[in-house]
Amino acid sequence: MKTPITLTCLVLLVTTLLAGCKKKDDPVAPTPPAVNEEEVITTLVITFTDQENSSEVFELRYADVDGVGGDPPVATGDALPNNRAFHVALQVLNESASPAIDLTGEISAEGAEHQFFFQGVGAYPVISYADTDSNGRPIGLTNIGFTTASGTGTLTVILRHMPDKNGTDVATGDITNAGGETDLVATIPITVQ
Amino acid sequence: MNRPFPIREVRAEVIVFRECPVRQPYFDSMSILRVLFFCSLFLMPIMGVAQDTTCTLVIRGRVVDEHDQGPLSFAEVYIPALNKGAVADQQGRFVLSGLCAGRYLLRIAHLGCETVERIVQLDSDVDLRLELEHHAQELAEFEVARSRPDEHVGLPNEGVNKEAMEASGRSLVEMLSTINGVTVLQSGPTIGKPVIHGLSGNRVLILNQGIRQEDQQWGTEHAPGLDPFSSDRLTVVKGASSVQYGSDAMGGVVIIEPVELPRSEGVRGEVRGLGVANGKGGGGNVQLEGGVHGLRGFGWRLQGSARKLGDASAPGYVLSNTGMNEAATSAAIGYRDHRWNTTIFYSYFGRELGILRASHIGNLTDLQTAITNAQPWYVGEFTYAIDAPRQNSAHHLLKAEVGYAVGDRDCLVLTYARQADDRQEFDIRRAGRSAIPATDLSLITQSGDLVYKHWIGPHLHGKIGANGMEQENLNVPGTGIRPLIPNFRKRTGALFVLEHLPINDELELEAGVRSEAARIDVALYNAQDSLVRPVHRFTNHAFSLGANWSVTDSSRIRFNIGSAFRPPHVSELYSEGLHHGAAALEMGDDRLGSERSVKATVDLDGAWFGGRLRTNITLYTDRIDGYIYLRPNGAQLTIRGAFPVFDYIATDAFLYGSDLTVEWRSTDRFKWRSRASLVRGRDQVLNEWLFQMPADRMEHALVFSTTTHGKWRAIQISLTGQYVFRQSRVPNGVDYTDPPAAYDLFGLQASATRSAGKHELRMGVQLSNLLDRAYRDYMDRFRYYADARGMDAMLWLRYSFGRTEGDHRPLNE
Repeated sequence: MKTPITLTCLVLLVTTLLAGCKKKDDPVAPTPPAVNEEEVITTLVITFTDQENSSEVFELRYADVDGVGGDPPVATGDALPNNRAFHVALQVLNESASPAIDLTGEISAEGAEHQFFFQGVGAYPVISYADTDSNGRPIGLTNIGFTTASGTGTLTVILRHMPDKNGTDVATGDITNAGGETDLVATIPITVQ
Repeated sequence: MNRPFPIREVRAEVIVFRECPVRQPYFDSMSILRVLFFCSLFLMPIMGVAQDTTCTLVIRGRVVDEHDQGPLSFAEVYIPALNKGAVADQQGRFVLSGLCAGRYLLRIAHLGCETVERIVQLDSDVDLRLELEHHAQELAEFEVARSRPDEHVGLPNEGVNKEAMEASGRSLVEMLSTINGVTVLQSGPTIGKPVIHGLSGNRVLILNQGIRQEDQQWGTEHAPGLDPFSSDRLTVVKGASSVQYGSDAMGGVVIIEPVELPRSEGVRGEVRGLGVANGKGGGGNVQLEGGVHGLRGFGWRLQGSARKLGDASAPGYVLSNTGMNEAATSAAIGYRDHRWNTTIFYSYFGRELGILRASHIGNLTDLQTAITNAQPWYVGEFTYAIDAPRQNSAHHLLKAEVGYAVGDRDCLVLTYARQADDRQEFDIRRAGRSAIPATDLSLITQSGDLVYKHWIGPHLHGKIGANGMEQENLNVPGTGIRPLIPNFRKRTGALFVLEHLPINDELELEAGVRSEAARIDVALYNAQDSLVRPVHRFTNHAFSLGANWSVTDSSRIRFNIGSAFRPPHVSELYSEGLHHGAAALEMGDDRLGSERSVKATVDLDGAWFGGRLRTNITLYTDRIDGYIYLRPNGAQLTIRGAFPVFDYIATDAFLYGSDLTVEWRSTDRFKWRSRASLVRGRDQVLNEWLFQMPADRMEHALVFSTTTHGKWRAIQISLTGQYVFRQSRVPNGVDYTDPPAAYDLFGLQASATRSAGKHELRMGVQLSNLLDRAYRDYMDRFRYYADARGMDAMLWLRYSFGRTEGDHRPLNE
């Protein structure tokens, strides 16, 4: 074996291996950036304003503030009066950020790509659309709602991203042929008194 | 099956390692005895045998191939009456001297050729040109076997040569899936990962030009980022190969063989084009290689390819957003002489892929709706446009290798490689954020290898080496989304020894050991949003024992038992959260340890009835301790809906299976081939089947081949039928739905060559799913959303110019 070559090779080898054994206190992995997840939806707020008396306001809230994982979402809300008509406004927030980010504007800016659907069981406010997107199809951020008899029930609000708004009955609030991805599902217990 | 039978694996006296220069001429059909025999012939005059002083005539000449007039290196020219012979050199030139005048019968022999006899009237010195008909294809493969030591003793392995590569498909994974025992884990029609004997992802190692391909292969929807046409040959080793290659080589190794650079001057190359009907796209490849005038030993190669496809189609509808754009290039330059062998290689591969739009769903309810619908919820018009969700990746490889011949037969090889892999995934997001990547990863890997290949004697040769690797994974800031996997820096160092022990002409053994240590430094924000820097260390060992035994002239057994290991990947340690688009919450476990497996394979090759019937059966068992997989653990309700929770857990797994091939050559032109493969995977702890194991399958083919027909030659037409069984061995409660039904697929392939002036044109057509079957495969992750690709037709042609037979042989000097 040629000694200089062997020596060179051994030196190279040792260097390569040693390069892997840096000093222990070197911050070896690059620091990840602190990520502010702006677009995460954590909270849905539904505000019912009595159509005849605008000082009477009721609020329903569905929030999963710690985001995916951790605690499950929490539904809170006021009891609604029976046999009333309301203006119903939806607000979508990211409360994991502080201050909280209002995402409602993003949704209305891309109104053609979003639609809220309302379903209920038992005693719940029946909600119909009162807004339109750039194609004349409903979005669901601004609506009217009616309560009838007293009782309890649940209201389920589903936000679909990129639904097929031309599908059968989709524009009247039937989710069956809507498609798209679900961005939000809020099942809120309702008390009508 | 690659080898012509009956053939024995004869080990040459002089072992030629691929990367090493050779110091001595290569005697290809000699055993020690014959070497001595010929030596004694030349010694005879010195031993004082009486000589006629007029016997000083010479027969000299050149042995060439009848078809292309290329030299037949190391042919033997023998005069039986005198017991006298000579071996031609690499240019086919030979000399027989000290002959008396007379009439002689000359016998000329060469590997892969029919022996030829020639009568020569010797009155004075003669110069002959001897032509032999040479069966090029068989010879090339046989020479490969005999010029290199079997790198994978005892392990079943199969190759895909250039002709098979271009006839079999458009992507690397499609070419690999023509090998029995290799299936595909798909995510829609354009994304596929190879599965060897039931294992895939981080359990299959891909070696690109001899370098471990590091391109985020842990991701199930991350297809390997390389261009198959940067190489001339693919090999799949179906066995545990951690001793040679390190971690991850559990199911097997996919080897993209390094290119053999030409050594003589003159430019040659090829241009290839292909058109694809399903997807209405196509692509091409241009390749040039040659030597350098006046600089013997230099060689270079340049290659570039591109491909573009629009949306694929299933039988009933367009698979929207499954287009693809690819561009790749590679360049290599090398120098070789009797002492040095150096190569520098660079390649780039870039790809943009659409992900089936209908696979992008919200929550579990959306998924269940998709499953119950016959059609995908999103079907648009055909387009070439690629929108979110999509992937964009770029992979660079730079490799420098130096081989130095130490002494007569040993050599030292030093290799350095650097890979850079950038991967971006774009999701459907609000407020214009679809243009911002949801995942943006940069992976830089540097590796260094030092290997000493030694030849201690005819019964012991092998290699000893050290490998080092340093890798850094960085989440590029700006995504606005919590990283899917954390930043980390990983270092590994390993030492290995692999020795071959040829016992005799029939039996060869191999044994090896390896030790590897890995350290992973991670940096991430935990659930409480504080920065933590955990460190993980893994130490692993591997062994391997193999044997190749030629039982008779027409049967052979290969046996191998070897261990493999795989440290957990950071995705298995630290995943926490929604796997976007997969409708699942994945939870890692940072206490997971290395997977350790022992795989035993037996491979039996036989030829019967004079080679008309050939059979091959591979049987294997694979026991994996600490097998890491995702197990469902309830569901979690979030504001986006319900998502199933999957935990990464470890279990003990046991896989076993078999690959069978039977070939019957009824006439010279017709051949029938049947193949089957079965895999079984068992969770030993829970005593149930493992999730996502390939279903049993079989394939039958009728192959017609003929050497010439008019202006065409090397014609091959084959009709294939594949049947994939319904996977009935599944664990309970793991999958969202039942495995899909069994299905059959028919295909037709035809290819032929013709001369175009001095050059060569080869073209072919491949039709797949001839009956336009609507089917879904169990190993396709998108089977919940849509059918697989319907009928497809691919037309390809390759124009080769300046090609001469001699330059691509692995023999040198």
